[in-house]
Amino acid sequence: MRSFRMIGTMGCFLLVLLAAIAAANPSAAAAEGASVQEGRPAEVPSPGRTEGDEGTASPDTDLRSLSLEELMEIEVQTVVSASRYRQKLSEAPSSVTIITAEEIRKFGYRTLADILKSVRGFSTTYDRNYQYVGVRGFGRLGDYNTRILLLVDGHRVNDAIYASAPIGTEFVLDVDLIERIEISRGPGSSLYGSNAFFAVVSIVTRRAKDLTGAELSAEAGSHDAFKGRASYGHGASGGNAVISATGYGSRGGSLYFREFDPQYALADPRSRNGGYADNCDYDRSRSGYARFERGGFQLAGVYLERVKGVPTASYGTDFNDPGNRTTDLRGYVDLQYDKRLAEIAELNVRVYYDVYRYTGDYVYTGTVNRDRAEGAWYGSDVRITSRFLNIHHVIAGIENEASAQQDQYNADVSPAAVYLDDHRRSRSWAAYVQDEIAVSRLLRIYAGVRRDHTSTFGGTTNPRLAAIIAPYEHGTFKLLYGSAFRAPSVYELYYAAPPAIQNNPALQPEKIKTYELVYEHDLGNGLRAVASRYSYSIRNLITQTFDALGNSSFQNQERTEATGTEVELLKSWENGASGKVSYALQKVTDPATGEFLSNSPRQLAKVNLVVPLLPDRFFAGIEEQYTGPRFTDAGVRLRGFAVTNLTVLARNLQRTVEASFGIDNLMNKKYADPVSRDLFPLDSVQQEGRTLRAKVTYAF
Amino acid sequence: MLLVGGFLLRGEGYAAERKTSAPTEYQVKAAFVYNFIKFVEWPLRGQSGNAAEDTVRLCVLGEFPDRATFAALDGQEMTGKRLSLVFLQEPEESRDCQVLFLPSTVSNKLPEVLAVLQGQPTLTIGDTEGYARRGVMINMYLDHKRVRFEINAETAGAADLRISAKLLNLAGVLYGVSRTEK
Repeated sequence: MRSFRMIGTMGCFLLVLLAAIAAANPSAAAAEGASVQEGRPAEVPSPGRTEGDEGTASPDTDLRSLSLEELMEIEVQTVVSASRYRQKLSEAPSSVTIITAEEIRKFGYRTLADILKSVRGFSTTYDRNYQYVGVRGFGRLGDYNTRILLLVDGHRVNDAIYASAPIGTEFVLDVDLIERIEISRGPGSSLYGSNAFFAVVSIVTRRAKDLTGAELSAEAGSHDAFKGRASYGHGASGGNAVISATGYGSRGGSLYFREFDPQYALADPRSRNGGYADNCDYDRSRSGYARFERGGFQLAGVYLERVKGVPTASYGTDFNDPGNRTTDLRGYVDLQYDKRLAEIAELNVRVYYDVYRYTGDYVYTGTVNRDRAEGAWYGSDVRITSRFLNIHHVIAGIENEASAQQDQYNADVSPAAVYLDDHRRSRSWAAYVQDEIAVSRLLRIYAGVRRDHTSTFGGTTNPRLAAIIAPYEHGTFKLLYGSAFRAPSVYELYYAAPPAIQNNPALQPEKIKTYELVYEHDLGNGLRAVASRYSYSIRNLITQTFDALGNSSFQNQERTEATGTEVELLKSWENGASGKVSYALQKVTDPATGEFLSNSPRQLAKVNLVVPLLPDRFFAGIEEQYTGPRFTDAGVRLRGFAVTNLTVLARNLQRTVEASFGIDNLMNKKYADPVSRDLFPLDSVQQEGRTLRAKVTYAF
Repeated sequence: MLLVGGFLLRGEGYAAERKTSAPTEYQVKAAFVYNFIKFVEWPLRGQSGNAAEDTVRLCVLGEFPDRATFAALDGQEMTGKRLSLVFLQEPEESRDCQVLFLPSTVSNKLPEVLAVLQGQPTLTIGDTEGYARRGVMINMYLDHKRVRFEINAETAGAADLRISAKLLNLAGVLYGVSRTEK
């Protein structure tokens, strides 16, 4: 409560600040008014922040009076207008959602999970250690996001031990550094290989063009959460550079768990402290990012280390002990080289080196059990894209990866006792080719196939076929078929602590086949509609199974079948307002039993709206997210719920100062997310009520 | 809350006056088209059509969603010439145009259009991937939200159009330069 009040006070202070920023520059605004009277497009945004640009940025300048050089500096709105860009979207062989840096700011998103939650057909759950994503009704409890592929500037982020895609505060990048996210639904293994099972989430970072000079950002929120970021970008004709560092810390609140309340009739034997976990929900991280470009070379380095308290007494650990915690460290160096080969082809070569370190401290009646994973892997890929005969657009490539270290340990710290000390190495290679054939303006065909070979399980081949049909001006049909796979992770293959946890080196990859029909229609006036009908079937699903004695292992056991329908309307208005509304109806079942899967909401509905309260300077971002009823692993039905988030953002016209204030879960809705059996006796965990946050960013 | 209210009221006055922050893609592209015309010289022999010497006929062929944006170019004056904007449906009609904008919607008709214009001094402008390679003289594209353009100097030269060196220098990609540099 104390921190709540403190943030409230801070919020009031911030509102004053917002007002001051937005109200600045009244004379400029008056001048703008005069110039727009003829109803012509008259205003020109400042192309940069340097003082020399002030002349061209004067608001009464007519676009046509600008020189070509000046015109070439203007950023255009690519997302909303009838553009090649959007046309590309409609030509893509999947149903794609794009989230831009502007949306991230205007909705006050703080993690990738916040962003994915707003995407049609996506949902997330949080067990107060990691965030998990569910796509199209499939969100396996106990799965560490292994069924989406996460890319940062083309670099695979899923690690070589758990194959997990980090999307919470453990994600490698500060979301402020994201320029754009492209979320492609459906199987992507024909181009990307393992883990591109339900979707590929591809992140493009901000370049020096988008981040010029220094930028400082400070953020505070409920539960004594603070974040600070310092970034610097420099662009010159020869090359450019962006560097950034972020520190984050949250003390976390005191959390009540009925299952650990000694007063509760069915209380767990570990119950204490009235069912409250105090000082156990802390979350601290530091991260760094650097990127250099020069003459076709791009060098990027990323590092993140996060420590998270585990307040849920997972794996049977002591309740209300702040010693329960996980540490995740991720880092990589990635060097790319692009070269145009003749007129029709482009070459891209990449080499990379990644590390991942995980440490989990689990306290059992005072004894710390330490679970560790250490991964190091490197690889190279070569890709050629070529356009020829006006109708072919071919992508072909080969990839090689070696995992030098895929080690897992488990031991008691004191008195020392080692339970697991497993060392592995593996190699993999892949080759793929895809041709996009523009048969006519009406028909575009994609045909692609990829062969993956891994030393752990052998090979798998995954095709994709798509037909994009545009029978008339504003409508596009997409007929999509593809298969994808997910290789068993080193964790699933080799983690063992007999007798309770058995390994299974014989695991095979799980496979999915997806059929989808998408219709996209441009209704004019910035209004666009998307409808999709899909079905998928998964076989050899890798599932954690428990035998009669309660011992667990991973098995290629289950099948899953699903059908779903999604509709979405996207609209942008002339005054800068924009909105989207989506609805997803999904039915995911186990064909053997006919039962619905756990953590699979039948319905998802989302509304996102940005309203400019004061043109260019003051915006309100409103989000409404409905999640239908879900079942927990124990078969308990969790009620559906709707959460409202509100963010107001103010910036000056030069965009050098930006401040925002946000309230998540505005109506203080009480709801719980299903969690994995590792948290027994919990089968769901209460989520955050109303929280506040405030942020100021200054660029100079 | 009171504070926010008063502050919003205050903002209302401006809200009506100012439109969006960044100009739309086609507002900028229209400005580019206007600029391109300034940097191209037409051959001296008069056009066969009925267009008066002091008028530049700027035509847009086929379906084009951003008509309204381009309409602002109609009647604009530049160095003694007046722009006259015409929307066309059939490729055959494009012979009388000094400037022809080809939206992506006419991509499949492009060979037909270019055949009609064979030997005509008509500046062709587009904004679709591959257009320049296929013979459109100036083709705009987006690079990190900024408009760039490529020039097919070969087809421009064949049509007796002289594109200024300044424009050639600013082009991101040039096709067939060696043949026209003579």
